[in-house]
This record gives sequence, C-alpha cells and structure tokens, in this order.
Amino acid sequence: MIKLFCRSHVSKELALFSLLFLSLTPLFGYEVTELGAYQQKYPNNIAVILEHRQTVSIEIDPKTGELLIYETNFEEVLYLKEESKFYTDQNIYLSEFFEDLIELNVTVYNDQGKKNVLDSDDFKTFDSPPSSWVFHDDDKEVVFDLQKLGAGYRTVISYKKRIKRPEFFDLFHFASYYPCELSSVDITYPTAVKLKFYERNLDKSPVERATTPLKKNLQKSSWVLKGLKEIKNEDGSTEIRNHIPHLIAQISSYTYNGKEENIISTPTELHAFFQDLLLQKEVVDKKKDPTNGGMTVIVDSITKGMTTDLQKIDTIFNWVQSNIKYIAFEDGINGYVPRPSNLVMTNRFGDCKDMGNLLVEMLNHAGVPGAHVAWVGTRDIPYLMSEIPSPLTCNHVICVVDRPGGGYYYLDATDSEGTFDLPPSAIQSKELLIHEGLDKFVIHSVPMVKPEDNFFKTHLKYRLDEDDSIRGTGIDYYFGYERSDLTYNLQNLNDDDLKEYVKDLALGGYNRYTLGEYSIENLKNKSKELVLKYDFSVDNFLIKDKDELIVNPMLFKPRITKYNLEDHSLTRYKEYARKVMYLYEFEIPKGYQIKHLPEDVELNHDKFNFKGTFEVVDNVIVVTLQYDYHLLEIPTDLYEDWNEFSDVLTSFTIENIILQKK
Amino acid sequence: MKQLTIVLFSLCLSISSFGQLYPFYKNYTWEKNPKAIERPKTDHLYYYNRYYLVVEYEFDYASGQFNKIETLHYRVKLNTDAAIEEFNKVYINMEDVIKIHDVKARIIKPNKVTEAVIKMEEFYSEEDADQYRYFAVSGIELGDELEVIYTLVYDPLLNGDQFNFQGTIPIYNFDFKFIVPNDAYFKFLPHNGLPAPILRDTIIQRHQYDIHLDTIPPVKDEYFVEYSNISMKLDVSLSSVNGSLAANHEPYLPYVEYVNELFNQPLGAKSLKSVKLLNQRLGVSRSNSIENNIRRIENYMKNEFLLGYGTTNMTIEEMIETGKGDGTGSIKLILALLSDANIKYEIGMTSNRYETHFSKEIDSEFFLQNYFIYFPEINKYLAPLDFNSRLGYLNHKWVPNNGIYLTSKQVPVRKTEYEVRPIKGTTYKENVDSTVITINVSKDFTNPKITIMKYLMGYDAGEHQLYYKFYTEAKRKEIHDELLNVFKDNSTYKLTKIENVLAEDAFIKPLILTGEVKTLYAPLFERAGDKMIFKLGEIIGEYLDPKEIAKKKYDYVFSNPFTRSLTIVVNFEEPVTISNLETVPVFEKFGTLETTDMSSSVKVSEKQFIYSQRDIYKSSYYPKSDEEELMKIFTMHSDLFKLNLIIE
Repeated sequence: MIKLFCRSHVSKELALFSLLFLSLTPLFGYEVTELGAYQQKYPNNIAVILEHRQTVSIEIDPKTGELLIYETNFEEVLYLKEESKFYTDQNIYLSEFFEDLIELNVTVYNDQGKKNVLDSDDFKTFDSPPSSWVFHDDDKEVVFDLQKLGAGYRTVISYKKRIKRPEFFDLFHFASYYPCELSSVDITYPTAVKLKFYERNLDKSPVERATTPLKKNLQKSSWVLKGLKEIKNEDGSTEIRNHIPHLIAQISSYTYNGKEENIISTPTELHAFFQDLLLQKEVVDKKKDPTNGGMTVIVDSITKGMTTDLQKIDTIFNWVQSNIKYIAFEDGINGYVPRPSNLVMTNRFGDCKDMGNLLVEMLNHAGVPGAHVAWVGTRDIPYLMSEIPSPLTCNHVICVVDRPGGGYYYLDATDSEGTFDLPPSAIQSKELLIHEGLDKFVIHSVPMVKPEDNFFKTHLKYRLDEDDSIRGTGIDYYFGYERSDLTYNLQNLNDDDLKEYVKDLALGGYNRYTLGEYSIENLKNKSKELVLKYDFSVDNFLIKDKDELIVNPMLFKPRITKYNLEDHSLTRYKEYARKVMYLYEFEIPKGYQIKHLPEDVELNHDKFNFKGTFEVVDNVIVVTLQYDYHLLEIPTDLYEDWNEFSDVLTSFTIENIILQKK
Repeated sequence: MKQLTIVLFSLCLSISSFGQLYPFYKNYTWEKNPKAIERPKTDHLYYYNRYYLVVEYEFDYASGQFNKIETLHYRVKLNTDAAIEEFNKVYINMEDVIKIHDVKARIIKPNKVTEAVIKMEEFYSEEDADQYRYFAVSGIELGDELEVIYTLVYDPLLNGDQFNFQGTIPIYNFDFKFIVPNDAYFKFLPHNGLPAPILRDTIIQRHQYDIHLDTIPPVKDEYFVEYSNISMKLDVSLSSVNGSLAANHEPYLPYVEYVNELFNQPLGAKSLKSVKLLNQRLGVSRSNSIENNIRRIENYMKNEFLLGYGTTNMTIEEMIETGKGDGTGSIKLILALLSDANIKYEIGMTSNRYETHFSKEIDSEFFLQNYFIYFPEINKYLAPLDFNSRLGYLNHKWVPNNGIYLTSKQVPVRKTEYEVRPIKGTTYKENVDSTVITINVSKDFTNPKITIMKYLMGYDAGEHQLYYKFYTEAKRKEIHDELLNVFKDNSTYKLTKIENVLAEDAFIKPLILTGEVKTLYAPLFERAGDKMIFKLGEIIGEYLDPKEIAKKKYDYVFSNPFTRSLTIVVNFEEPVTISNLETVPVFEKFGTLETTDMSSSVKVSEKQFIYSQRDIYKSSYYPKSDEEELMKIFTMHSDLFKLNLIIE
C-alpha cells in the first residue's frame, strides 16, 4: 500500500487543516497490482478518478461574526494508458473576486510508487485569457506541469480555497470527464448556520447521504456517490448540467451573538442582494454633468414629437441597440454593479447590466412609465430563481417595460437585432427577477415564443423557361427570431458578400441556381416581417421521359433531423419554436397536362404538425408545405413521434408530378 | 553577424551627433487639427484613409544591439456597426515585441476631434495563439474616423523580414518607409504589383527606402488560392554592410553557422553509448532497409519520446533517460540516432507555403520556418519536430516549395554548407480517397440498406491514424461519423470495422472504415406515380459550382495531388429497367490536361447497377492557362450532380 500525506506551504492554520485532513482520510491508496483490474474495467479511458472529495468547512469568526468558508478539493487519479504522458499540463481556474487560493499540493507517484511532490516554484499564476474578444474578466489560472505521466502513474491534487462571498456558495459536481470510483461532498458547519441543499440528477445512481451531529455544535452533511461514468457531451443536447449529478448548497442564514444574519434563501433576499449591487452604482452628479453624458439631449431629440409610450420605447431601444456596443469588462465588482449611465453614454459601449440600466434611465427621462431592470438566468442555467433563489441562477440583465394589459416588453440591447415584443430567445421559459422599486420586485415567468410569432414563409412562382430549365420569382418572409438571426449580416456585408449571403438564404441555399435581381424590405423595421424578393433560374430542373416531364415542384426540400438513443442519449435543445410555410406555384407548360398528382399528407401532434397539399388552380400546380413545432426541448421519450414527424415530411417531399404531352 | 554588428554600431556612433528628425518614431506625430476625410460612398465596411508604416533600425545601447522599430499610423473610416465593433477595441499583436511606445488614438468626427484615454489591457487569443495588448476606444459612432499611432520595438530581423500590405479592405494614401544607417544596403523583393522601394538620400546618415501608393485596392479571397501569396507584400533582407551596393552579406550564413555550432559537434562517449543502446532497443540494424531504420527512429521520437517537453541544454543521455527533450535537443537526438545508424541525411528548413513561398530570388531568414531532414539515399523527407507528419509526407502546407539544405562536414574542420533547392511534394498515388457505397433496395424502395467502405491513404488518413489512440470514445465516434458521412448531411452511421489505426500505420498503411447507414437524412429514391427516381447525382455529391469557379482570378492551388474514386453499387430485389441510362456519362479520359485523369463508367444487369467515377489530380498547382480545361472538369461534375435515373 502506498501511503500519502499532504504538504502544507502556507500557514499554521493550514498545517492544522492538513493534519485534520489526514486523520479523516487514512486510506486512499491503491495497490500497484490493481492497475490491470482498472485497465480492464475502463478499457477506453486514459484515467480513472479513484477518489474525488470536496470538503467544506464553515465557521463563524468569533470576533467579527464573519463567515469563514474553506473548500478543499481533493482528487486522486490513476492513469491507465501510456498516452497520458501527453496530458501533464494542468490548471486550476479561480476568480479573485469570489475566492482566494490558500493551499495547493500536487504529488505524482510513478508506476513504481515513487513519489514526486511539486514545489511552490512549479506553480505559476496567470491572468486567465478572456473567453472572447468582447468579454474580459479577472479570472486567474494556476498552471503546473505534472512532469511525467504514464500507465500506472497516480496523481493526488489537493487545493484549498477560501470562499469570500457566502452569497455565491456553491455548486458541487460529482462526475468528471474520467470515470470516478468514489465522489463525495462533506460540508461541516455550525448548527447556527442554516443551509439549504438542492440535489440535481442524483437519482441516477445510489447516493449515501447523511447529516451527522459533531462536537462543539457542529454538524456534517455528506453525500457519497460511487461508480460514476465519465461525462459525455453531445452536440445539440441541452446543457450538460441537466444531466449530470450535482449539488447546490446555499447558506440561508446564521446566528451570531443571538442575532440572525440572513444571506440568501428566498427570492426576497435574492432581490435585496441584487438591489444592493444596483444601488452601489455611481450616481451622476447633475451639477457637473447636467445632460448625463449627453443622454438627456439624445432622448429629447430622438423622441421629440412622439406621443405614445410605444413609439418612445421603440425609438430609445433602437438607439441603444445601434449606438451602444457590447463590450464586457467584468473585473471584480464591475461584474455586478452597473456603470453609471453617463459613462456608458460617453463610452458608447457597455455590458448587459450597463445597457439595462441605461435603458431604464433613458425611458424614465422620456416619461415612459414602468421601465425596470431585471435579472435573469439564461437557458444555459438549468434552475429557476423561484426554486433556487441564488445568484448562481442568474447571468444576465435586461430592461423590461410594463406592457399595457399585462406582461412586459423585453429590451435586451446586447442583441442589436432583437425586438422588444419578444423576449431574448435565450431566456424563454426562464424567470425574470424584476426590480420594481426599492424592496419591490416581481418574478415573471418568460413564456416560450409561439411558432406563429416566429416564422419563415416563402412563396415561389416559376415556369418552364427553355428545355429543362425554370425561371421564377420568390418572396421570403422572416419574422421573430427567424428575422433577427439575419438582419445583422444583411446590414454589415459589402455588396459582393451580401449577394452571396442572400444566395445562401433564398431557395434554402439550393445548390445550383442563379440568383438574379433581389431586394430587401423592412430591414430596420423590427416590428415587421423582413421581406426578401428575388428572381432566380434553375437549370436541369425536369426529368424528361419520352413524352412525359417528371418534376418535383419543391425546389427546396426541408428536412427534420431524426434522433436515436444511441447517438442522442440526452434531451435535444431547440433554440426556439418555429413555423415554416412553403408555397410553390408551377405553371404547367404549354402543350402538357397532368398525368399524376400526388396525394396530400398531414400529421398532427400536440407538439408538432405537418401538412402538405398538391392542387391545380388555373393551369398552375400549387404545392403547399407547412410545419411547426412548439417546443424548446425534445426529450428522448419523444423521439419516436418526432421521427415520424420527420418521415411524414420527407415522404411528402419525395413525390413527383408527371406531366404528359397532350 | 559580429561583423555586421560592428559596422552598424560604428555607423550609429558616427551619426549620433546629428540631432535632427531621427529617430523617426521619436519625432513623428499626427497633425494638430485633422479634418474628417470624405470619399465617395462605398459598400466597404470600413477603409483606411491613411496607412503609414515606418520601419527603422536603431542601435540600443542598453541591449547592445540594433532594434527594429515599427511605427504604425492609420486612420480608418468606420462605415458600419460591424466596423465599430471591430475597432472600438484596438488590439496590438505583441508577438516578438520587446517594447511598446506612445500609443495614441483619437476619434475624428466632422465637427469634433476627441483624443482617447488609453487604458491598456492584456489578451491572449486562443484562436490564433497570440498575445495581444488592447484598449477600448470610447465614443465611436457610425461614420467616425479612428486615428491610431503606436510604435513597437522588436529584435532585429536584418537577415529576413516580410511586410504584408494588402488585405480585404481598401487603403488610401499608403506610405512605407524603411530607414537604416547609410552604410547598409538592403535587397527587396516586392510581390503582386507592389512597386519596389526607392532609395532616397534626402536624410543625412540614413538610407531611406520609400513606397508610396495612392490606393491599395482590396484583394478578395477565393477558392483554391494561397491568399498571402496573391497580395502585395515585400521581402526584405540585408545585402551589404560596407557601404557598397555590391552584395557582400549572405543572410543565410548566420543561420548556417548556428546550425553548424548546434548540430555538427562531436558527441561524448557517454552520449554515443546511450544512442547506440537506444538504437539497439529500437531494433535499428544493418539488416533492415534504410527506410525501415528511419521509421523505427521516427516512431520512437514521435510516439514514445516527448518532443518539445524537455528543458533546454539537456544532454543526449538525459533526453534518452527522461524520454523528453526540447525542440533543439530533440533534433540533436534524432540526428545522433541517424548518424549511429549510418544513415545519410541533410538537415534543412522551409516555409509554410500558405504564409509565404520560399523564394530563390532573395535570401531571407523569414523563410526558415520549419525543419526537415532529407534522406538522399531514399529521396524522402521527414519533419523532425512535426508530430502530424511522417517520413515521406512533409506537411502539405510546406510542399512543394524550395528549402535550404545543409550539409555538414567533419574534416578537416567541422563546417556546414548550404544550398537552396526545391522540395518535392507527395504524388497522387500517395493520397487516395476511395469510397464504395452499396445500396440494397427492397421491393417498395423504402428503407434501403446502405453499407459504406472508405479507403484513405496519405494525408487524409494520417491525420486520424496519428491521433486515434488519443481520442476518447466520443471523439472516435465523431471521426467515424465524419469519415462515413458520404452523403454530407445529417444521416447517422454505424461503424462496423476500422483497420490500421495505430500511429505506426500512419502514412504507410491505408485507413479503412466499413460502416452502415443508420438513418438516412435525404432519401435516395423519389416517387413519380409508378416509377421511381434514383437520385444518383446527389450520392455522387455536390461539387463546386462552375459559375463560382469562373470568378477566380488567380492560379489554382490544391493542398496536394490526389486520387479520389467513388463506386456506387445498387442491388435491386427484383429486375428493374433504367429508362434513361444514356444520361450517365461514360468516359475513360476526360479533357486534354496531362496532369488530370478522370473516368466515369456504368455497368448494369437486371438486378444490379454499378456506377464508378474517378478523379486524379497529379499536380497541386494549375496555372490560369489550364483554366479552360479545369472548367470542363468542374462542369462535368456539376452535370453528374444533376443525374436522376428513372427506374421502372
């Protein structure tokens, strides 16, 4: 048996911690001879996590009454394949705003059990690269090299950090991208500290749970899971946290000197927390800056002569979408407190909360009532604020305005193309925490946008031109998200690229056609359908068979992807519900008559529908094809029905018409 | 190099008393009261109203060397939201930058000029693996001009530098100045219509080379092109250091001396012993062929040894013991193993041809980007530091190209000599993509059973064979699906067999996959009353639209020569008649180009239809003069794509 011990670099306190840590965990080594057994058990994995242990200690500082939260992450990994030698680079991500790293121990055991303890010089801390060209934060990355790995090597990585913000405490994952033999979370806390635990996806494997009283008014809550499979992402599935076991532990309150200090456990407290951050924003000194960075002048000029609130909302929202660009500097508190509106006006850029706050102030100045800042978690976050009232459930801020008759207009200026009539697609079915004034809030469930508000329609008319080519005109209509997906590109391409882009849109990007003249209407009018009109021609469209012409009138054949459990084991994600309508009108060529007209097809389901028809009207073959689906996710138990939907649609699109010479 | 430094240093001393307008970067600034420049309306997202790049060489007393100092000044007119989003953060690439000086920016509006407050941040781009510094520019609005000046200090690149001036955005009022001490002469090689720099003697004690262009038009990217080789750019290298126009400086010499110092030194007894033992362990012996021995050594270096993981200055025996070495150390080790095995070699370097061709017209260290080892006895190449390639297949982005070949001698003195010669690429026989699709059709033509056999040889196979063992189960599935996805759509596939997936198989054995279609996304058969339409063209696959190809302006450059074939076998359950079989083109040779070879054939029996098509491109370069013949090929493919067979 190989014995391990942790090494402390930091302080007496940490040394004590390490001893405690050791005494609690006497056995986690493995026999070198077990390597073969693990290789057999996990033939396709480079490594197995023998143990992943997350240990939390919560204390109340007796002098200050402050919560002291220490989290230790311990992971022992056994490498099963020689290829592991290429994976020696390791890193740990940290956010200085939330946490301080106070101890890091890394030990590598070679295949003979000889150990190598990394030295403090082996750890380098870097600014973590920003996640994109527009999003910048203050995350750090501790980087180190395990120096050598191979089959039979074992690493023990343990780090301890102090959690600085109890409001954000905390989310614990049990599974990893390697299979895990044993995964546990232990949280030790005084009885004076109240915690709430939210389990997610723990029902898929056996869990040992316990809450044990300890000495000195302490208690320990623990979760142990064994034999966890590695996490497998699937392209196009819903966010992985919908599927993997994890735990959210939330500190509700604690009692110090007989007084109860609330952290967050209710929507009211969550709102109070966000409200506090909102109120921390710098107040514009009206004497020094009477126009608020030019904001009042702009609002007055762009809303001049407007009589309705809706006109003002539309105008102000458009102005912010066009003129304030999205750049996020999320370092420290700047990630949470909006910048003052005069600074955002001067900069002409900001992040979501800057834009949300600016919109509220502009609308207020314009006299539009009912404009509010609202916090929301996008669909990446699989929790609702009403069920888990924690900042962990929020990652976005927008402005909402009371809609006459109920509901809200949604003003998210981070999307330069969206309309206020619809919520941003990423927050459909989520909840908005709407700040309605000091200590006043509403939780609003954002509805899924109906397919009727989110459609693509096309109307194609064409006729035989010469030989087997056709020539025709098309009008495409895009509305809702279908529209906003396109308009940015349509406004930001040069002429050549724009024609290419339009060619890819028209006829569904049909492979071999020539795009003639085209025009675009309502490009800037977000409340109307985007209209694309064009002329086109297609060669070799018909099949000639003696005195017959065989024609499939569906120039573009839509398809619906089918799913199977082997390739798509996780619920599928749909960005939005949609409705699609095709109308084809093909003029029967002179001297021909219909010999064969296929039958109509229809399928109705409570989540999706399809209808396709063929008819002849005044010497014109009219084909309609329409389908819609009103869902945001396709769970695996819906695959069978969904695939039938796909099959029915496909069966319609493979039907040809036969025309015969008179 | 030493000679050069002394000459330039003395020059520098001699002129330091002239305190006039030089160095340029310390004296240049933007105009006091700029006016917005208006030009006729354009559809460009943005354009440069001014682009001024000045490169000067100055002696830095602190570091004791010449520095290359680049001052960039531009004014960019922002016509769209996309342009604002691109320029409201100004990114400065910091690759090889020693210092950054005097960053200034201002926004020029028709009625107002606002100087920006510069707050520098750092950014590492994962996309292009480069470090940047950047600052946000406040207050930009549509139609504004952004003016930026900054100076970057680099280590000198006297022996080879390259400047790219043309991109997809138009530039107006372009100036380039290259300012050096007046005893130094440089050779320039302008490309693609860029005028040669003119030497001006207007500045005391400085040679100033100038290019001015009123306009640099945008150059659009297109199919089959090495973009950086079609745009205006300039190669520069030092040709003389003694005040004479006659070339007396060889830019490649410092590198050759460096290589001689590094790789042409005797090994100690311990190192020799370790090398011998390692070769023994690898099975390298006289009884093997030369190629077999080279492969054994290469497989060790790339499959077992950790290339680029070690520290600098490790000894040969340390590298062998720890199984890792840095780049230079790894080359030393592989050369030691080759020498011990008595294998003749020449080490060399070449460029990535997609970034720059290795020109014979100018000597430039800029071309020395990638190491290769040439084996004259077997006429094959190996890239010692490129994990993605193996013997016989240099990275296809490097070849065909020129390269510098180095031969080392040990007696009477250890000396290395160089020569610039061509490096050949691979042939069409070495890069094969062959697919057989078998479709078993039921009576009613629904749910055909489809099997696929894919045979890949060369680059397309090697890239997967090398990494296959590293792939997770999910990644392997993704690769299987990608390779089996002959219909290029959302069909799903099941792999039934895969052969030759070891790293040792890469670039030697074919990668062979067999699989079947699980779900078909687009049907292969359509209905027309009681007839069936077999969408043969859609299986053959989409090819580039000849109309798009016709827009090409430059020569045709493919990644490598290749052979591609497709066989479609359809087995019917009952006898069928194909009534329009005559529409399937049949030929054994197509067109007149010697460097292409296409065939198309069909074979039909009562219950079976077999179609075969093969393309061979024997070259990776096709000049514009071949365009007419190439267009015939593209048109032929376009016609194949439209093939629909009527089955009765």
